[in-house]
Amino acid sequence: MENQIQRILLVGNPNCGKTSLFNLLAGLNQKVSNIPGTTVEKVTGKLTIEGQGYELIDLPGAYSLIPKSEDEMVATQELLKAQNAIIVFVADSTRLESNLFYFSQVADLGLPTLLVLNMFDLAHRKGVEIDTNLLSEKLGVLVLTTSAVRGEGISKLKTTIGKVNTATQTIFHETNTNSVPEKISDYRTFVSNQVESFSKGESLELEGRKQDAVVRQNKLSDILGVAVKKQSKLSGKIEKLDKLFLHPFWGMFIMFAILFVIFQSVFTLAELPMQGIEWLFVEAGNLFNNILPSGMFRDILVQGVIPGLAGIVVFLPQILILFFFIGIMEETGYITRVSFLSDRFMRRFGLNGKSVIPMAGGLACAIPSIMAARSIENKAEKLATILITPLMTCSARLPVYTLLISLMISEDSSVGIFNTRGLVLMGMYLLGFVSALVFSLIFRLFIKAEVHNFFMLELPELKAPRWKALFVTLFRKGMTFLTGAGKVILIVSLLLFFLKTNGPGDSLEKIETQFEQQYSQELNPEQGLEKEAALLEASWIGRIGHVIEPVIKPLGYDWKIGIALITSFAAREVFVGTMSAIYGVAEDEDKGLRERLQDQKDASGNPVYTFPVLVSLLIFYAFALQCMSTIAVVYKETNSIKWPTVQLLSMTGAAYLLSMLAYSILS
Amino acid sequence: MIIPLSDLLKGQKAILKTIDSEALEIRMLEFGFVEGAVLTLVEKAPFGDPIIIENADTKLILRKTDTNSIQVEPII
Repeated sequence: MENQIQRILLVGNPNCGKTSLFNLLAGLNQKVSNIPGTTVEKVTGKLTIEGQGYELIDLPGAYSLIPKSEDEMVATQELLKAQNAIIVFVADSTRLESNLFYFSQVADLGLPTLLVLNMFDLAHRKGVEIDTNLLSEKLGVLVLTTSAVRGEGISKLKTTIGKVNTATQTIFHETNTNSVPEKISDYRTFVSNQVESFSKGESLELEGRKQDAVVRQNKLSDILGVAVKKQSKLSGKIEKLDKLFLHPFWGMFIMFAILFVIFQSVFTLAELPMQGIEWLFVEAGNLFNNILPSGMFRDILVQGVIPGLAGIVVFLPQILILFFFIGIMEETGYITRVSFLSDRFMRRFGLNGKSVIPMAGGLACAIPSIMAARSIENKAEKLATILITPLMTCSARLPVYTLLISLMISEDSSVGIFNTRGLVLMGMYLLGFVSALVFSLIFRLFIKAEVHNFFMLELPELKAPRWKALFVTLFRKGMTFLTGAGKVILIVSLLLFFLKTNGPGDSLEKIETQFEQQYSQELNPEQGLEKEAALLEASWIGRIGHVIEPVIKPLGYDWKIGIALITSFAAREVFVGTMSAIYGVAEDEDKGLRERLQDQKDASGNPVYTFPVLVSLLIFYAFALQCMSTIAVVYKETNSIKWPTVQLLSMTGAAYLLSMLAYSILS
Repeated sequence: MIIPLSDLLKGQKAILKTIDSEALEIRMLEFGFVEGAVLTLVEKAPFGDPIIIENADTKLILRKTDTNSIQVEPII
């Protein structure tokens, strides 16, 4: 049918409860896609009303049609190109003064529009009485009330949507004023010109916009003056709590306490499910190994695909736990308090108050933390945060540091009352934090800020989290990670598997026959490990280790370390496993590996793992971007190949230079 | 007496007079901070920056560098 509505656009300010309304309407039937050329996500769902199917689109929250951020630009662009669509404008009933400004602009686009007063019950309890009939008459639009938290008003909303057709139109200015600013004769054209200027980075028109804004606010204030009655504000418990959260001293104290709890949780709560996932994949590998006939297919599945999948899924517990906490902070509005308190410090390093959360999360794992940088509105500061988060000392560095530090310092060494090993480990955490700040300063020399870049954040009221909405978002975040970054991780692990299990010519077969001839019977465990080490050396990875030896020589490394550097590109902790394989020590045998490494002598009989080499390795792992999953996530989040490349080159480049410097000074 | 916004004390109310930056002025307008509106300085972060201001129903966080261009008349 010609004038049949096919699309429903949910539009509104951030924090108006739009997303919970979307979740109620669409359920888990949601699809997230990236808007081409931007980092903004578009969330769509399906909805059926009386047999008629609709596409439901949740537009990014915005304050104005004239954009100041990428989110707002996308929202306006989607509105401008909308056809056969109805706009469901969601407003926070407790804050109509600020919410209706955006509504008045959206209404002037001339599309069928409904005004939904969300959180209507909350407004009532707060003593805000809204005359919806009068409001509807004055604004010239159908007004409905809902409470997304309680699920009230949803069925009425659906039936109303079902009755609207494309002929229903609303024009705020026409209904309300005759004094449209001269420069804005055609509002649609005006808005679309402004959006185009914004997308090109040009400065926007100011005078006409100012006049327009004044006219709208005056008109709205007249309308709300008669349609809304507010009782004087009561200062309740929530306001008192908020005073504490924002307090210069206590607020800081609470913030650090919360960040500490989050960091600890990501660290400790994730451990058991991660072990469970690893166990599950190992068992699945064993199962397929037993039931499938031996051959190429089995090897690829058991040694390539399954460990590759395990390497993706294993991050899920950390991602879900971190996003659970971030979700609570976003839902309650606490995250804006964090921004407020830490903005001044972080700003000096070209970061944002909200960078605190990815950085604290980065102490556990950079993967979910980089995804957490999404909540930073300022593009340049968001990018800087993404780029420096992997410098924070993540949990994957811990096994590497532990091994290297234990080789470097004897267990009973102490400085005063402190264990020296512990102090060095703490120093490594500090090094990570300081270098993250320094890197940010350097990156910000090259990342330009957006035009008209003043800092303005709305401080939403504290409120209880909506658990259902929280879990739906959590589910979506998990899926985005699995399908987005997961692909890249799988491909790289398959590549590493290929390089490990294949060698130039028949080099691997030669080793096999050599061992067969040397040991006529079944190999004992020690001989088995010896054979594995020999195979690894003969494989492509072993070759590459030899080839890069001249490059890593100035850092004090031999080809064996070279192999470990390459395999641990998949993930830093693989370093320990590879070292075990190279030196023929059974895995999970830390002590054995340590003793073996201490005994290693080079051709001239000097120990290989000297103090300078160990310091050089520590520094290398502090800086180098040895984590393909990080690269995959940065690629996904920045929607470009440029930034992960910049990150890889700068981090690994710095690692190389600083390790070389340390090695040459110390030896 | 007209003073810069950031000179207000915590909890002090004032009438919004002028905003020198037009881009900032429009943004403030969109949140209902019109000329003549009554606003309150709610809180100052450690070292006095950023600050939180509030009108009838909106609280905004602003940096000191931006609020220097905002002139207000304190209500005693």
